Amino acid sequence: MLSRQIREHPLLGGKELLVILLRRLAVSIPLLFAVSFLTFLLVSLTPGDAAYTVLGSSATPDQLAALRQQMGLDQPILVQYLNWVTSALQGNLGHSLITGQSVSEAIFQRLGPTLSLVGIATVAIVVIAVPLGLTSAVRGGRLATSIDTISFAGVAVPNFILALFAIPVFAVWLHWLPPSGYVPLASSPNKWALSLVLPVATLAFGAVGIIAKQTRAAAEDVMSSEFVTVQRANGYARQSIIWKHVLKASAVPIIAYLGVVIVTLFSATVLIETIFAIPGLGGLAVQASSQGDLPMLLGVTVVFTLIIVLINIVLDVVYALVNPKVTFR
Amino acid sequence: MTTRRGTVFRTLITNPVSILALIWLAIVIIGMLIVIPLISRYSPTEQDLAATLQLPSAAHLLGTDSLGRDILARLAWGSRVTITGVVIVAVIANVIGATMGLIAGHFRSGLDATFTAFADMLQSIPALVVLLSVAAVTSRNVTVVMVVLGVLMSAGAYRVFRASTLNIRGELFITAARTSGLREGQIMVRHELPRLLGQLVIQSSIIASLAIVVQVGLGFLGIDAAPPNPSWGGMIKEASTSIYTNIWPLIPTSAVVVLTILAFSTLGDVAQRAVLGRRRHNGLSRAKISRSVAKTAARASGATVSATQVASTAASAGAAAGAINPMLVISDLTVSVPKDGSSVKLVSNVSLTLLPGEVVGLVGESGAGKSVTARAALGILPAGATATGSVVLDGQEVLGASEQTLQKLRGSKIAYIAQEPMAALNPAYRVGNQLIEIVRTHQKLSRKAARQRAIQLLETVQIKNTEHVLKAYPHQISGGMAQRIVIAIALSGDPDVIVADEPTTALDVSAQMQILDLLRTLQKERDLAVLLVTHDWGVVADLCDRGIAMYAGEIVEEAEVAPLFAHPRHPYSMALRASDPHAQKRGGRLHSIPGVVPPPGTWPSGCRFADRCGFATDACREQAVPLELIEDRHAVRCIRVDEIVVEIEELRHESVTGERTAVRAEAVEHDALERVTREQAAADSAAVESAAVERVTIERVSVD
Ligand code: SF4
Repeated sequence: MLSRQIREHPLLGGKELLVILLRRLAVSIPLLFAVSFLTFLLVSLTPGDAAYTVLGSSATPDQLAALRQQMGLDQPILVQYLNWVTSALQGNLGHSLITGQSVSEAIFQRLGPTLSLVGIATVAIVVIAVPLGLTSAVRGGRLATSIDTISFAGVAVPNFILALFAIPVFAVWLHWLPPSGYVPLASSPNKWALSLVLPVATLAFGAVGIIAKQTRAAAEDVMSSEFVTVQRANGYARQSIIWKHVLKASAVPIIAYLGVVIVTLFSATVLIETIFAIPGLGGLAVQASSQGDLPMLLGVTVVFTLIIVLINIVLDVVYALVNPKVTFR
Repeated sequence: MTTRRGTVFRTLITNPVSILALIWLAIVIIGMLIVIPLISRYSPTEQDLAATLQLPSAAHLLGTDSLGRDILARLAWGSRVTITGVVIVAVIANVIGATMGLIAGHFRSGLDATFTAFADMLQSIPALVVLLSVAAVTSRNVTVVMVVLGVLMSAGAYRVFRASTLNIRGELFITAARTSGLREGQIMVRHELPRLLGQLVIQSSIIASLAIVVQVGLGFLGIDAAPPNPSWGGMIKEASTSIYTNIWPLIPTSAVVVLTILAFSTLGDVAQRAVLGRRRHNGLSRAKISRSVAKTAARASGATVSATQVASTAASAGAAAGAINPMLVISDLTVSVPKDGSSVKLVSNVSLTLLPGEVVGLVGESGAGKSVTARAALGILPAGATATGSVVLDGQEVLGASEQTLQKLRGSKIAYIAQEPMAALNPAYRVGNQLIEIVRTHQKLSRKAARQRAIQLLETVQIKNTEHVLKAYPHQISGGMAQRIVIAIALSGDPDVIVADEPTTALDVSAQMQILDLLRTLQKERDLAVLLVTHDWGVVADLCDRGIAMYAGEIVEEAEVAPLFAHPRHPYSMALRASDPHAQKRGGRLHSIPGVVPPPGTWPSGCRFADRCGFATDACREQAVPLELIEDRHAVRCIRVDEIVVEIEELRHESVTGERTAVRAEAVEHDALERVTREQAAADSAAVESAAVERVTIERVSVD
């Protein structure tokens, strides 16, 4: 069903990688503007504005007016937005209302943990789920049933709830892993890895089942096609049919799904980073949201969206690599 | 994809799993949302610092939290925030998704591309982060946050509704509605929308299950109910502060959340299954084979044994005479697939022999079991099928052989050419890659040597620009070319036997001729034994030494091609021949046989052809008809085989007049057969279609 959706997809039906990428950009650039502008608009509609947040309730109207002028808040919204875009394009996303720190700088500092978290989780998902799905497509039976169960559990148990149960079990009772906190890779690779085990595991858990299921569905689709029968009947090695031919022929829908899953992983970092006290972007977003630090929030949202756009571009290229109907010119 | 809403609703209230889910949702909605707040003696915010973190007791059914508040009461009051949020999200996402999906799916073109691009955008938005912004700027207005979530989630719903509409749109009755003059809007609302209701149920459930996760997550971050007011997410947050010391409060709270998500996603899952049907099996899973059972089963029915013995005798007569060892001996092969708890036979008690260098044609309509029989020769059975009997390939038993043994036999002893050349190659790899791989599987060769051998093989199948073809992907070559490559693959292990399953059916006429020529040449050059499956009587006459007509899973006639072609003796073979376009040059009328082959599982106990046979009498329907030798190497499964000859002869005599004898006789014979072959149809297209139907039937049977 999915492979069919993709075939009929007006954006993925392209024939040339360049066309695909151009289409992606045609979606992505407006997306970035839309997300930033809508967030900007929302912010401007807020009753208490940024000046109010900075100065607090004790500020006099004069002080507020002065600060508004200084921050450009008295200008029309479109002008404010254009100003923001202009400086954003130069890498300046404004300053935190709370700490005064440069937003770009704060985001840059927090990028590492989030990217490690999502990156490792993605690799873990692919490495575990794809072979699992493929094997279960071949074997069926108990393995297929357990994948159904895992994927069902993955859907039913939100990863932050899973994390809350994992911490007492693995950190408090078994003492295997640190309960929370993050050690930068540079300071101790060992501790860095240990500190990421639980966050990565809980983050990846739900998606493993989903991707395994999608892989199974895609592989089953491929396996019912004539070429598999022809290959079996003419003596192709079984392992090669499964791990080479079926795998690559079913890669397109798997990649499409992976794209969707990665987006949800980024969203989920918001909660996972909060629970494990990881100083990443998600945690930053929560902090900014609770403090009403709107420039920070705007910056984080845009950077998140940008990362997702970049990942989609990478996936487009991977998609083109596995799909021979896409040509490189 | 789509179905009448009745099926979905009926499945939801009859399937035990979804009943459990519905019961849980009733507990949440009626019990927690409505009843408990009315009857509970605790207020959700009432603290009792003397009774903090208590386990369940008569006083507090689910215990108390760290401030001594009753967990059950808080869960009940807190359900309101979650349920309201979920309803908002589901309604908004479905309304937007269904409307846009219906429009895009119906009108396609520019609108479709625009909407889909928009959906792509929405799906690239990190939802939780955006919701955090919304929460921050609206001072945590939960309703607004949920509305935004609904908009974001409409993208997923949009895709599903769009795909469903596309599906419905192509259906006949929509086209009919259009030609009858209904306006597009009317078609959408009256015909397409109602069909989407099943999908609406599925999407609502799925969206609800996803929305809870986000809603509770936001609650966990403190963005729903302001403390101390309860919400599920907020309660999990509170519980999380004591997980190091007392994990109890987390358990009932999480359980309620998880069960509710589970309930919604179960409903979605069950509804989806009702719409999509069950999961498909696949051909790579191993089939179960029990030869010992076969023998017992065969012995149990005397008639069958005698029939197959006769058939074997007929076939191996030549073998005995020349003392040649047969290449392939199929004896008493029965293939069944499980269906609704019982097993359904696809092929019953088929026996046939293939001598070295001999070409045997298996003819018949769709559903006759030709392909199942032919593939069984390779040890390939339909998914989930069981086989009894035996298939001996050059002295080696194939049924029940290990996958390893089979892998060695396949390609080097026996090879396979499929019906649809375009689907017979892996679309994801270049032709060269696939060909070189199989060359190296059969022979230990260096990459370079293997490439040389691949080029040789391509030359063998008369492909000229070999380099170009090696570099091409399957979608870049024609069907005829693809079939040549499949033949090259089949020849790569230098096999003795080739099973060709309708090798030309999917090709255009000129490619058909070329491929047939090629097969003939290769067969001669390499002295190949070929088992050729076809519906085309002409191909049999053209290529084969012997023909076997199959009907409803069994052999009905077997003979050398000359007699089979000139004087078919079984009414079914006669009808097949009469419907063969090549045999009708003079009459100019195309005959096809009225009715269809009874599908597996519905075979009559008497003669399986009786319902379509113009010569049928009551006796035909009484008991299974054995396959009997009527002359040397000619077996027929018909109890009236001799009477029919007389009947036709009489008809012929009655109308013999003057010089037009021959022509008239032929016409009369046709008239007699007309009882058999009443319908007129373009035999060619009908045949292609029936071949397609056969494949579908096989697939469907293996699915059910
Ligand atoms: S047995 Fe009777 S029904 Fe069957 S083919 Fe012969 S004449 Fe027809």
